[in-house]
Amino acid sequence: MAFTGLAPLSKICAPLRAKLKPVRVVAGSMIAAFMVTGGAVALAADSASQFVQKSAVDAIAILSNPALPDAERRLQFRTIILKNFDAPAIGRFVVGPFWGQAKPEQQSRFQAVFEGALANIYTERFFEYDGQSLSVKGTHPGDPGVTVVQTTVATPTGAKSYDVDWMVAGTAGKEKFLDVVIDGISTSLLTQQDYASVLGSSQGNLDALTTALKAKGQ
Amino acid sequence: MRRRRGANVCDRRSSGLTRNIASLLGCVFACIGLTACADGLSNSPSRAGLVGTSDPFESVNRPAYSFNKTLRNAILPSDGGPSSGLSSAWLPVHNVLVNLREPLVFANDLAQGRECAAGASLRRFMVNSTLGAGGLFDVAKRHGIEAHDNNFGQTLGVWGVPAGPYMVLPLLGPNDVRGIAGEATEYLIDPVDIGLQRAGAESVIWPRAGLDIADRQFDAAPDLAKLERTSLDGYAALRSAYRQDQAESFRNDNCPDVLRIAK
Repeated sequence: MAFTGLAPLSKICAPLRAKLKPVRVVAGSMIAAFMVTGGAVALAADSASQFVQKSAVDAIAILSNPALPDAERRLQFRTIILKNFDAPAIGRFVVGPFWGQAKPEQQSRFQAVFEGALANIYTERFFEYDGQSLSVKGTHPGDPGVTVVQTTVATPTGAKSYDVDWMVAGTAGKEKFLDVVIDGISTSLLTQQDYASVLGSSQGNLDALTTALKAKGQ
Repeated sequence: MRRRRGANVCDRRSSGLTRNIASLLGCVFACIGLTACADGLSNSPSRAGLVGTSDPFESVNRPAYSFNKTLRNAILPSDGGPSSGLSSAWLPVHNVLVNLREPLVFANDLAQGRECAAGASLRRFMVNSTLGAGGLFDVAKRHGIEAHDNNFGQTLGVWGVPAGPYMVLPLLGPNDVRGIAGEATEYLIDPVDIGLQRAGAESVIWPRAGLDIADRQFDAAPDLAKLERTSLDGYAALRSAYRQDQAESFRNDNCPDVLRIAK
């Protein structure tokens, strides 16, 4: 399935940009502001895109290494995930509105356990590597400070392909993933709604979620 | 890609049953209206930010989810079903089922004003029915026109009908009230089933429906197994995945790149 959801947006934006051209000619100070902003956005997009590609190369090097025993490969892959994902920020997001109600020590206990859960989630999603390739289709700004890198992940024969969007935050050289959206399904939002079920049945007690994660072995 | 198919669970020649279906649809649409109001009331401020977790039928949905899970685990291996391997013997069956659904997908694409997607469905059906030996081989996919799904539930959504509450049906899996209304309507309007009837081949309709349900289970099994392994509450995780998938199906215009370039 080709990811095409953003195409209409680009069609709308093109005439808007054309309309902005005369304004840029007249307003000198605005030109500088626009150019700086535009340049920063372009740089962020480039570095985010490179970050995704580098992460994919690093991950594939581990997953496709026949010399590594399965357990070792899994361990190295988890290490890459924890290095490239912003576990504390994702942890706060998945707890949702209950985060502010929790005490600092509860939050610390949760974050310590959640790191392993996050690694498990993404290891499960991507570990079964079967020669897939990743190609970047484009980038666009997401939430403030976030760049969305749109990619397609396809099997070598092209028999199956997935649209995968990577939410990248952080400055150049210090990027981290906040979320991975696979065929329109956000991993972080799904995890938030999964955890909301546990938190909802325990009156928002974060320790109950931490205990449930430990019991699950995550 | 998940396929959805209306369940041909009854003999459509029965006029009494048609009336029952019509009254069922009436109830379902009335239910959509009622629950749309209920949804708004049940979203208390403490649940702000947890968009899409309202689930008034949860008490009956959870047993249905457990039933489906138990059945799936009993029948299919934990790593997925026969369609999880693309070279498996099941693939031609899957291809034929997808091909038989193309006319309905085409009709829904048109009803939603997605002319490019409709063109893709039409091309797929024509190419795969001929060069693909009646749909056994997905020739169109090799030329960049992958299958996409569409259904009457989604058409109702485009026409402004609200989704209504989330529901899990035994065997058929996650859905919502609008989706169930759509599937029930598809039962009456599927061009292939109507063609089969007119050709006097009603006996094919039932096996096709059964295979379609099995195919959906095979197709979804590996992803469901992963979801259950990585979630604390598999039911809540699947509900989230379903709702996000629904939202995505409205955003995605399903126009293959090869046709987009040609436009």
